[in-house]
Amino acid sequence: MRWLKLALVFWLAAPGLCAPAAASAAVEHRFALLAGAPDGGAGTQPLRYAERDARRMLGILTRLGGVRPEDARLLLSPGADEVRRALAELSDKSRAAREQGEATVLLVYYSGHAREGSLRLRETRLGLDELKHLLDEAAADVRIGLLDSCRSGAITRAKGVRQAPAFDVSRASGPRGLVLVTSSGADEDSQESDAIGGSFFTHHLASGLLGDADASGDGQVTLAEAYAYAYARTVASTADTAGGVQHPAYLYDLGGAGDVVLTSLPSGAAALVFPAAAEGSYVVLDGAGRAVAEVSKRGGSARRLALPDGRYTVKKRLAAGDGLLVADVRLAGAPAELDEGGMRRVALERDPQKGFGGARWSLFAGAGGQRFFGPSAASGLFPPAGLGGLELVVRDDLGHGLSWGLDAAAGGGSSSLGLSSDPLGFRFTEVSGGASLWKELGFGPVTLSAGARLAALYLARSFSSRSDLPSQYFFTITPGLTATAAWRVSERFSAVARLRGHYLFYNVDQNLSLGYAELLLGVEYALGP
Amino acid sequence: MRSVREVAIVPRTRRGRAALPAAVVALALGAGCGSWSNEDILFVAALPTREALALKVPASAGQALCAPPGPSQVWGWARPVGDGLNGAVDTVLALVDLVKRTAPTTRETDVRVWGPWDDQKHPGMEVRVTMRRSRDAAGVPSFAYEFEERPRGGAFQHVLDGSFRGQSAGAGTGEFILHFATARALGISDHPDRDPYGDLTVQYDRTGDPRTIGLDVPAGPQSENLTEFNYGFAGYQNGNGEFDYVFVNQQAQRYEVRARFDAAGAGLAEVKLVLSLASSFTYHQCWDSQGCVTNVQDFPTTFFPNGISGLCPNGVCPKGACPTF
Repeated sequence: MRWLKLALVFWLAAPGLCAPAAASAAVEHRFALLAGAPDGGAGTQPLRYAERDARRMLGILTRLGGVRPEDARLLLSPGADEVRRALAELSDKSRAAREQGEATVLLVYYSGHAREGSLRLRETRLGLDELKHLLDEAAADVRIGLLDSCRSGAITRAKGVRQAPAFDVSRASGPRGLVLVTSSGADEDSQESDAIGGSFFTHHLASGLLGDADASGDGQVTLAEAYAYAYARTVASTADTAGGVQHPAYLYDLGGAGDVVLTSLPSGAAALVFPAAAEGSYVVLDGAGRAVAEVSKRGGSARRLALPDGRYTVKKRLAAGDGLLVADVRLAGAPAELDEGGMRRVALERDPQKGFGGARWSLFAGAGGQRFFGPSAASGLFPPAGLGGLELVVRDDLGHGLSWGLDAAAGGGSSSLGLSSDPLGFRFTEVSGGASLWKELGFGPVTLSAGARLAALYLARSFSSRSDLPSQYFFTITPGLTATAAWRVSERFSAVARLRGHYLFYNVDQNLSLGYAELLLGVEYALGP
Repeated sequence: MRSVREVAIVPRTRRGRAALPAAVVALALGAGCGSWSNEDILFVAALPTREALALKVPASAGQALCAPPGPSQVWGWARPVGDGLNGAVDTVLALVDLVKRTAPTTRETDVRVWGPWDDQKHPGMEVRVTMRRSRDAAGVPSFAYEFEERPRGGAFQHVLDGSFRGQSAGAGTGEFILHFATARALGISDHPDRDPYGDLTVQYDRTGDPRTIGLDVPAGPQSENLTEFNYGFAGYQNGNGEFDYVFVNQQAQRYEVRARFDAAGAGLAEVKLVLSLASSFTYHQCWDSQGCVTNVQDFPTTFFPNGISGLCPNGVCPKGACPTF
């Protein structure tokens, strides 16, 4: 069955067989509904990039896809009723446009959970059959559904896969009908990737819409080109993943003349141009280090990615063992050609496709306490202390799931020497700083981590009840372990409990091997865009 | 009392040079460095403090302008004597403070040693301080300490010895002896013309109420007025106090004074003048909070028409109020 799909894809995408987009006499008016739904309710793990996927598609469609911002609806973490209302609203607007004589296109994009024949929107459900029915009934000439969710291919089963009718180029009217494109088959999971910062399907679809799918080189990416591109790339990208290979599917019930152009690539606007001589696989990262497009090309013809103005990093994979070539590119209102000769070579382990998705920085602030174990605490040698601390955390810098951090804490307290009947009260301060390296494991919104820490510890005390007694200090370097439980409460904020256990060798009065623990409760804020 | 000597102690330079690499090696091995030690505190807390030794005499002593018969001479002596003892305390505390500012050089279970270090105040001299701890059968700790000086390369000699016994630094008994003769022999006496020739001994007791301080000092040949001076002071928590002292002047006249005063400065005293083994005279006097004599019990005679105290003009002694204790 899959070879049949593939054959159809190539047939659709082949420039010689697929009719070019017809120049319709009617003004075309496009509407778009984009929903990112990371929360699929009970029994599902929150998706990390669903909302970003929706935002990314919104940006492409409003910039290159002919959708005016006022005709787009972006829904983040919506319920089913919100989707229904937004779809009805856009359908009404489309109907009004049609009554004005305009040709209309309604595009619905969804990134989120789906299971058992329904889109899962928090604790609510929107059946795939209902969605298809709503699209069928929507008052638009062309209705396009793009579903990036697990088992979304089930929506194509209603009528099964069938070949699109031959376009009648003699008809003056443009295409009409319904197209459904799904990210995976009816029995397949759709997968996200930290390396690319999104779902595989949307990532490749977006790359194609930006221009890499423009197989004909006419400056337009048609629906057929985009699907063919996304299909091939998604299958290739997921072939070796733990989740299994993912085969996008589609239902194509489109009549009329010509294909649907999804994006147009303006020739004079900002664009990253890969020259004809360029050959190989390239990854384009935005200023935040997130992958925005991939380009895989052969030599002989130039390729253009219509990107917004900004700074980008282009990486080219070399043969195994040879690392990467990297170049920084700035786009400012005009096309810029990649100078491959000026690219610098970097180590392979920093390849974004092999786990390096760009370092992610965050800042942790917390408060808690420190307590020594055993007799040293009872004797008042090292009393319990209150602590407040900061930690700068860098994730995925040294490898995927591997994080390091630099921390500093200060605190202190008061106590007394419990060695006589007339206790000597003292106040003490503590300053510590450390470097930690740990591995993280994610369980939905909860992340657990464990690692090692090396800290410098400085303690100083003075005797408040006997000012004539000398102040004292102690300084040491201590090795320890760190463990953290974090609960992500929003896109940027996490509630964090951080526990550290350390060994301390005390050697002033006598040689003692001591241990102490620190517990900090606080908030971590993700830095960067 | 007068200042005996001042000492400035600094660690030797070569010791400082050695500290840095030692710290680096220690850190490399995971060891700490510093002075954080409960045991050190217990040792140092046993050394005398200003609070333990200071005499607290009401401010009126010796300051009043009084109508005849005038201010109390006995009460007037209280402040100079107190100031003198506080001066001796300052000398001792100057030594003690130097120890308190520096971590011990050597630590053993019941021994702490500071130095030997160069005595910057006296070039060519070295100083060492040793403290030893012992416990009696009841577990009450006692500390003995020695401050020693020597010419570099010579033998150490004690310039200050002391001890303290008590469960805590705030409640115990202590004693120290300043060896003026040794200091003079070592050439480190800062006031050789004024300092006593013998040992100045101070005892203090902070175990109850009153807290007491005693002072014994022999006078030297250059001392103009005193050949011997013994002083005792007791301070109560309510501000009342007692002092008694004995001194013998160059005329071999021995004065024995016992006095009590309240927190405001009013007091009474018994003064005994011993002229010889067979001849002594005693009188009593009271004074108010301004230090002015209010009552005198004296016995004017032919030889002393105004009384031994000189406070009974024409043989008439004042009969005003006396405080009660």
